[in-house]
Amino acid sequence: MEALLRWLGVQPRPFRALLRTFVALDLRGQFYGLATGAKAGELVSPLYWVVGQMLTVSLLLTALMQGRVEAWFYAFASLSATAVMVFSAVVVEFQEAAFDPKDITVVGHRPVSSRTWSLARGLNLSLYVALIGVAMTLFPTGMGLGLRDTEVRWLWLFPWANAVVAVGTAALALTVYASGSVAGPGENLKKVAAWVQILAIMALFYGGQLMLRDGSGGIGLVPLHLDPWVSYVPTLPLGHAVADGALRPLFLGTSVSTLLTVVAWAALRRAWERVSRVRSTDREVRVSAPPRAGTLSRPLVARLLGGRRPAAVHALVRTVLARDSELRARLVTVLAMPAAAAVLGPLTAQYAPPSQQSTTSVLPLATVALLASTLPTAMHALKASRDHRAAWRLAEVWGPSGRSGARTALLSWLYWPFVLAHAGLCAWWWSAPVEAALHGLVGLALLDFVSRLAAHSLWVRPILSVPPVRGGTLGGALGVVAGVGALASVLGGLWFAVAPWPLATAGFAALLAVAGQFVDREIR
Amino acid sequence: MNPAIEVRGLTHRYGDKTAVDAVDFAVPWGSIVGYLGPNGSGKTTTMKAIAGLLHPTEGQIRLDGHDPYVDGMRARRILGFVPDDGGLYELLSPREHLALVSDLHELDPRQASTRQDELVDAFEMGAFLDRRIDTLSKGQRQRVALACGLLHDPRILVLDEPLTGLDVNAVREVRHRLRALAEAGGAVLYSSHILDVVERLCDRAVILAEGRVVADAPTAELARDKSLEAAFHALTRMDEAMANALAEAPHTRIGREK
Repeated sequence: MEALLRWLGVQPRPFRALLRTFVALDLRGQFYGLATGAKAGELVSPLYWVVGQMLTVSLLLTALMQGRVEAWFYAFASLSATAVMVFSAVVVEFQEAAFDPKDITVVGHRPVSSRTWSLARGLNLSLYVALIGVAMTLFPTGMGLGLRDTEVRWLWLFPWANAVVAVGTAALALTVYASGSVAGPGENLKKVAAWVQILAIMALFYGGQLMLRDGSGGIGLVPLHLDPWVSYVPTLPLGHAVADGALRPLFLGTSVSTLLTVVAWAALRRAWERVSRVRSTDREVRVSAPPRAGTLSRPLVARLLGGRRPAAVHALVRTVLARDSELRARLVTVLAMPAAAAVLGPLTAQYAPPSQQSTTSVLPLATVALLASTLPTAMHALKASRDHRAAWRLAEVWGPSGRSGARTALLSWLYWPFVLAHAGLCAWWWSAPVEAALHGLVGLALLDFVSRLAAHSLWVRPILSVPPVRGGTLGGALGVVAGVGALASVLGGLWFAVAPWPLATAGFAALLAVAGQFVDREIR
Repeated sequence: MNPAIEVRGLTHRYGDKTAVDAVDFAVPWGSIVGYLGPNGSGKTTTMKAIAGLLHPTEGQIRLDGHDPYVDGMRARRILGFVPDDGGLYELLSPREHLALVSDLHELDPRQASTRQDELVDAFEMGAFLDRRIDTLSKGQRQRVALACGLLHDPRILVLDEPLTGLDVNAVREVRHRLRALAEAGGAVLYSSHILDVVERLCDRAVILAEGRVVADAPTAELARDKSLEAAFHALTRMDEAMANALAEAPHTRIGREK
């Protein structure tokens, strides 16, 4: 091994040390570290967070297709899902595995060659790709064997094709990422990848609800009506190869992904050589000025929120939302599901007014209920964000008024615009502005109640100010996220029940508003 | 014999803004040179350029005759650099970080272990050696950063505000180590705003203002009339009378020459 490394021009000992360090850093990364309370010297396995996500996606996909499609399409869809998840995970979740700007001040002035650093970073990344690849392989391999037209060779052909796709996609993502890294750590690419994730979730949601609601077996017909552009997707020939037992495309795919891996390493090396000389963090970063005391809006916000303290927190959260790209990426992903419902519902003619109480009138209501159920997750993400210094300040201004400011900031900058835009969409789609206005009103009341409940449940004490206990933060947050989310869904059901009667619906909104005030006063 | 650090015509621009402008100075072997200037005068930019972390727009840098951008490995082997932000992976413990530095410099494990123990004792790091760096106080982090900068026993040491957050004992220890390094024939470039320490510790001082060298002189000469602080104030605010008086001193270069 040592001889091979030396032959590659890599310094063995620094390489091993860097690889060990990178893995430890990733395992103790902010969300994983907070979730598990990982301490220095410990190597826990917090990756279940991401790996669990991949397993869920894979399970959902295989369950949707099981017994409904032929083996080639089954393989094609599973391999495509692997490609999408690996690409977005590399850029969104593990961008630091590809390039951490901190490397420059820690490693840049040490006698470490660019080959050594880039191989360590590349291998570090490949560990995650392997984990994701395995997570995306288990269900399709096992359950795929039960398809009508698969044989025993599926057991090794599918994992092989999946490995080819995972490695090739990761190498491609890394090449794109490393090529743009001189201009900064790929902020735009992160946004693109976040949108890829959103689209994947939308597609899954669409597929899921189609399957649940469509008794005609529509998904089984999808392979028969593929658009022509699909034939250019590289996972299609691989899917056919897996189903037919054709080895040539698999060998070709293996060669291409190996070549891509070499190119990715070269791109990473080159990026390191350039960036370690032109320090990206030395660029002048221009940011818009945060809202400050004395501006016109500040006294107004203070008056609306009932004091300067919540107004200050409101401004702080606004700054965090504007500048913490990591937080934004996570919030966008959280909001993807209701956004998908709002977009796909009208497109699939399943967006009738709730007053009709038909099977096609569930989605407009479900959109708002889904939105409300994301509030605890969004608040948890805000609270656990440690990327921006303003997030640390949040810990210092905790207490009831601080929570109120943070809650209203999240609502006013993300959730209220969503509900209002959704009401506008409904007014246009239904041609019934009054019903849409009532729909919006109930939506605001629901958000108000759920947000108060979530804020108080999540922020009983300033979690950022105390070291997280193993499992404590995640356990507590998970309970609240699940509990409040479930309550939001139940409230959505009640709303559906009273929807045919406008007065009862208005009464439901009033009841929610009163309940919100009650929660605020009692828990405070 | 090459000087330990040689900077010639160093200029660096961030877009339209010129951070350092035609800076010249040298740090001879066996000396400690203070690198002083008001906030934003270009000290950190110069130090990063010397450490090979920032390619200058113009000019040359040599570390014992080696260009850090051409012969980087050799230059980096003899260099110890402590950046202003510490340059630490905050999710590691100090023990893990020291082990990482030891491996990156490929130090002999036994010697590195002895040296590590010595630095842990000297900087009183034993109590927090296994805690994550992001849970340490500012002063504790600075001790870790200094230990990581000194672990490989560098011949050239570049320190960007190394005393920030340190207590009196740690400051004494740093002063003692820097003096010992210089007496052993090494060289130190030292940036700080604590001018009385600079006055007692440094053989020479290079003072920057608005990216240009306004003084390069023995500290004793700069502090001759009043104190280094008074000289610093006069030079960076361009008090003409005092600057002229200082310019008459031997071995002294005063003025914002271009």
